[in-house]
Amino acid sequence: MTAIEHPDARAPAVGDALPLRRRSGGWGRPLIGFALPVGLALLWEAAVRSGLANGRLVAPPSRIAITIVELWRSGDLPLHIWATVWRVAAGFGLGVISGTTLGALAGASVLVRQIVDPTIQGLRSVPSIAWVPLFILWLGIFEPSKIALISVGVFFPVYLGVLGAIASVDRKTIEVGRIFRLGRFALVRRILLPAILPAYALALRTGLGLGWMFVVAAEFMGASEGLGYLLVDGQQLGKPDQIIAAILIFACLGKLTDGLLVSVSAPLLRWQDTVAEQGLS
Amino acid sequence: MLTLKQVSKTFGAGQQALSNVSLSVSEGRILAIVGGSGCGKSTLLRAIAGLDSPTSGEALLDGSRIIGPREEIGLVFQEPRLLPWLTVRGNVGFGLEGRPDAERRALVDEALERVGLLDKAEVWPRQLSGGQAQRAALARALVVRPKVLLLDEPFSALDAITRADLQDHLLELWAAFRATLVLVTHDVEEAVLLADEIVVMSSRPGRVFEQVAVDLPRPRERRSAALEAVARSVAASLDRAIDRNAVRRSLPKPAAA
Ligand SMILES: Nc1ncnc2c1ncn2[C@@H]1O[C@H](COP(=O)(O)OP(=O)(O)O)[C@@H](O)[C@H]1O
Ligand SMILES: [Mg+2]
Repeated sequence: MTAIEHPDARAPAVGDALPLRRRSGGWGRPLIGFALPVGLALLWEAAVRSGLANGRLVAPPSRIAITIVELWRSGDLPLHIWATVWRVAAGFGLGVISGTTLGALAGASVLVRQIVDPTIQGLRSVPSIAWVPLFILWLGIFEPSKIALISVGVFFPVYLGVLGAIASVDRKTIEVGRIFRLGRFALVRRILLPAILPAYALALRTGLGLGWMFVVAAEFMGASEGLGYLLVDGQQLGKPDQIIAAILIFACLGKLTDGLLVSVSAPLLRWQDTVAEQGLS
Repeated sequence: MLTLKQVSKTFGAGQQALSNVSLSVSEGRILAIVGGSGCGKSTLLRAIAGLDSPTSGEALLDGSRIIGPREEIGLVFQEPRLLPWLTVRGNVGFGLEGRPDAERRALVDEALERVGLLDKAEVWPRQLSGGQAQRAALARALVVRPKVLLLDEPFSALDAITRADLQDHLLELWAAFRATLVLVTHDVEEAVLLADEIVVMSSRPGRVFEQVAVDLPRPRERRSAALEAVARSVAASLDRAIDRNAVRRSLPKPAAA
């Protein structure tokens, strides 16, 4: 019975301060995170209602809520959300697969790294939007070009994360595997993979974040559905409420999918005790 | 019987770390290797462990040449090198993969019990103190029952009390397992307390300077007169090996008062 297996145990072992520190941040933290946006929303609502602001350019929360509900009722919103989420998922998947594969190859072999890394680093400095015309020419204006653009955004952080993580695995840790006569495959499975997992999880999160950024760019290049389309449509028809609603939904979806990644990787990273987890104090 | 024949090791740019080191340890004995830092002690141990191959010469275990890590040769590094993503149990059982779960569990429990860490089995390595971590590393090496256990300054990073504690522990384990031990240390007292035989190395390049037999009955008592006497002679030998006078001569002369 240990503190780690039972983080909620009422009586932590004497002298083991960890569970106590853990719990103080346990449930309070997510709730605290709501204080700022909810507080601002309430303030703005009050300001508009009392006539201090007119709320034409930035609608009060109540009107945005109504906009969202109406969009949802009409059946449009689920469609837009689905279109965007699908694009991000497909682009993310492709970017992760290609980034992980190339990163792993470049990390495993000096030769591969010397061949591909300079080129990839060069391509990385190309502004993302510069790809758009090319992808449209190659892949047409429909889904493939959009997904390609998103996967380009996801690819780079994942590639860099995997390569960097492999390069920074301690030779001393590898030697532990050698002393126990692990073969190539076992060394990867039992030493390399767990060692790079934290950096990899972080790279995936960065990649996902970029995926959400790039989906907007992709949908700006001409889409008839998707949250990005709602933004363009809102601008062209002068509906600021709709724009803000779409931005809010982006924020929620981004946070939600990031949280999903975090909670999927959390059980594998329980062993870590990082500054991020405990704060610097 | 562990034998080294004319082992030499030269690193990349002609830097010779070991030169013609020959020695042997019979089964169940404890050999200590002492020497100044950088004299090639770790290099020697790594050659025996099969981690690095010698440039020339060979290491043999019971007549067969060591060309890579072997199950019957264990190594405890200077740092514990526990894998942070495994619990203490996972770390200690690392070399037992492939054995049935129940057997593995029993062996790990027994090893943890022997090093006094049974209550820490499910804890992460980062939650251990330095001494506990080194104990876990010792258990990890011992759980596979090696015939030869190599220890590279395993206690040098620990405080004196923990070190004494672990030395006693090592002797108990040795009495129980009867493995051949090769212990690298820069602590002469530790060498005399533990070893049957002490090899004093000189440096640049590392070679065997002198070999001293420690014919003291066990259990040995720390700071006993007999032990101190041997320790003094080993220390003197080490002084000559390092040639402290040469070092002193090369230092700037203190200004005349
Ligand atoms: N991988 C290596 N590459 C180059 N030189 C090394 C390497 N490992 C050790 N050396 C050199 O070999 C000599 C002996 O090192 P080492 O065996 O670690 O000494 P000790 O363990 O006695 O302190 C040192 O001069 C060290 O710099
Ligand atoms: Mg050393």
